Amino acid sequence: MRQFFPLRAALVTSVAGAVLLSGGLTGCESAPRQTTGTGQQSTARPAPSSGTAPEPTSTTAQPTLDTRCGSPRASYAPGPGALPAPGKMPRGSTMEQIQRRGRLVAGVSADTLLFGYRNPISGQIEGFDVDLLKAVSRAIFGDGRAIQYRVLPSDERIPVLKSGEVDIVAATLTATCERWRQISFSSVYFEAGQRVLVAKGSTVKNLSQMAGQKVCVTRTSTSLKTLGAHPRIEVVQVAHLSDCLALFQQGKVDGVTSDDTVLAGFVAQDPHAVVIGPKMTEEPYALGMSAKQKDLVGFVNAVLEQVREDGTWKASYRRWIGDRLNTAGAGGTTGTPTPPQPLYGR
Amino acid sequence: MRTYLSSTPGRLRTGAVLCAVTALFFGGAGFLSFQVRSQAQAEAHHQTEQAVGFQEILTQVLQADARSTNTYLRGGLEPVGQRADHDAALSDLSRGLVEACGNDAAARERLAEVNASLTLYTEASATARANNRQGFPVASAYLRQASEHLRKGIAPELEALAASETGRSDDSFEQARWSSRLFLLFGLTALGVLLCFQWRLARSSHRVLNLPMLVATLGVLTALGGGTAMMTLAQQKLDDLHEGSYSATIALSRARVAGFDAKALESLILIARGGADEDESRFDQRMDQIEQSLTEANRAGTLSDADPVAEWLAVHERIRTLDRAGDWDAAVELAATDSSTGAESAFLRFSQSVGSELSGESARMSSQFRDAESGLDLAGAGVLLSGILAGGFAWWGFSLRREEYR
Repeated sequence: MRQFFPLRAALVTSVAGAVLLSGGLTGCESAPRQTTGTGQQSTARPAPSSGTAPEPTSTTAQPTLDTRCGSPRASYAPGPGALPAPGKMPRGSTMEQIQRRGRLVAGVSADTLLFGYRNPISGQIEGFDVDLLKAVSRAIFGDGRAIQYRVLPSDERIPVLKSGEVDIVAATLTATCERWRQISFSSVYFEAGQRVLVAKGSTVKNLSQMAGQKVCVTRTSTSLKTLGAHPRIEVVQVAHLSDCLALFQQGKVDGVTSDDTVLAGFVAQDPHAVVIGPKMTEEPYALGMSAKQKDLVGFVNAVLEQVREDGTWKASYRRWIGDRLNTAGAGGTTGTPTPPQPLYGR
Repeated sequence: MRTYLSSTPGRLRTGAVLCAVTALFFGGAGFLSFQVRSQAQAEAHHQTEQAVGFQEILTQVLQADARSTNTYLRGGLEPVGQRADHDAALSDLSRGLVEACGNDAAARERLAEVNASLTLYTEASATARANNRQGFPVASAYLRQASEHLRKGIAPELEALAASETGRSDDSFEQARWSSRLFLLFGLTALGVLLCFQWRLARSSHRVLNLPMLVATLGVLTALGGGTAMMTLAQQKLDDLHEGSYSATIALSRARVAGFDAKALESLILIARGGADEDESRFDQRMDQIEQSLTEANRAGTLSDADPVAEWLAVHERIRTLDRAGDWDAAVELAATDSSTGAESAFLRFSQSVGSELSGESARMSSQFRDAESGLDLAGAGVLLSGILAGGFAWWGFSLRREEYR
């Protein structure tokens, strides 16, 4: 059985990426050159990170990750006794404030099938990300239901943490150096990668072959930056992930680019779609928290360690993801998955 | 011609023609003034009904949207009856659009836009429903699209059409007011001409009275007095109607539209779970519209319940408090429950109260329009007849004087 997202390979790739792309794709904000859309969708061209990147001739390049802040995967190590008994949070800590409030305020996605979505039958928000939040809630309150969900479009995930409107964000959030400058991340709990979704039967094999076509992406997502290297693709930006699937189904865009996890959820909802091409990026998912609340980050990391060790992570993986990444054509694993090991040292 | 006019018979004949024509002109113009008033009032009536009709069409689609949004909020399948109501509302809307298509090119263009948006709305809401039934979260994207087609396509167009009809109706009210002024002007002019010639006739003949001319003048005076009284009465009725049932009908109709939109927004805000700043601000705008419209309706009419929205607003505030405090489940329960203390029941009481007031005021308005229109045609015919008779008597009066020169 092969290892699931091996840490060593990821680190090697990260270092290689830093060398290859220093001053390139790394850590630069995607500034749209033009915006012509109205309402919830807009067509905008994300600028390449520096200058005009040439159209890639090959998509087999190794996925890369900005490492100018060290490894974006590295978080704060949980200290000794970082996981007190539920309901007995340390005096003066962020966790005690949350405990006194009586609920954990969490930012989530409500339309990312598998990770965070509103179940239309029950009306409840469910998914892999939500299971992690429940574990954090259980660790603070002894009750996994003491959560106030705040549904966020992708472009609000960072601002609500900076403004302190939510305690934590669990919404397929990639840990990047650029974001580390604004918020803090937990240790990585899932390794995803950006890919492309097209209609089944399409002759397109990768993003490079989509010149002149419309590709949907969520605003301010890490996926948007990749499109900066493909200036001939017409980029359609939306606020919500599911808007991309709706536009794809309505024939208003030719493809969607996002994380393979998200696209697998799309394929589960639309059997006429397929995920193609290799992973173009590394997207290490971590829980986002305020940069000022390092004690909460250490606490959450302790919870995540417990989740990795007691089988909660695997159970959650089997329940929500299983072999859906494979079914979607998005790769992944078929056996018992292994959670990414935590990396500390920040 | 100069010779003819310098002779007494010539001047008398000319005077006869002028007086007869003046009297006939008064009769004809007076008759037309009444016709203009009658037509303006009828148009104001029709345009007001059109405006209310557009608001009613919008109310129906917003009502259907509020129901389906509430079902989405609750989760699970949409009740069969509710689905049937939704479909029926959309069918009524399509029919209403066809019926509303008059001869106004601008209105037809707007209705075509509404129709196009309605198709997109129907398609998006049907796709949302189909995905929801299969448990696919992409339903939320289609629900957002449907909401956008409704709130940024259908609603503004229909509200603009209603506002346009209301504006035209106000123009018709003004036209009716001008008809009174014109009638008075025509009457006073005719009276002045007749009195002037009668004075000249008396001076030239050294006779104080010319009986037929006196009858002609009195005829014009009577027609002018009676017509003015009739016009004033009709105007008084129209003013009362405009300030009363008309204003109340328009205001209540707006309040109902705003209410159903706000009810759907209440559900959309909860569905978005903290991610609906735009909807929250739109909800507040709609509540302001309701308050303003109810204040107008209350000023214009006699609402049996001075503040029918208060109860629902109180329940809504409790929902928002629960949601902001993190108890989303309790907020949804309060918003979606059928119990008498929930938002659904409170809103139902609001919509029934406003709906019932609207029906009452609308019926009162129609009755008052009919009342204001009654007798106008007869009065117009009376003025016309008076003018013809006055013209005849004026001619006769001058003829008697001419006879004395033969």
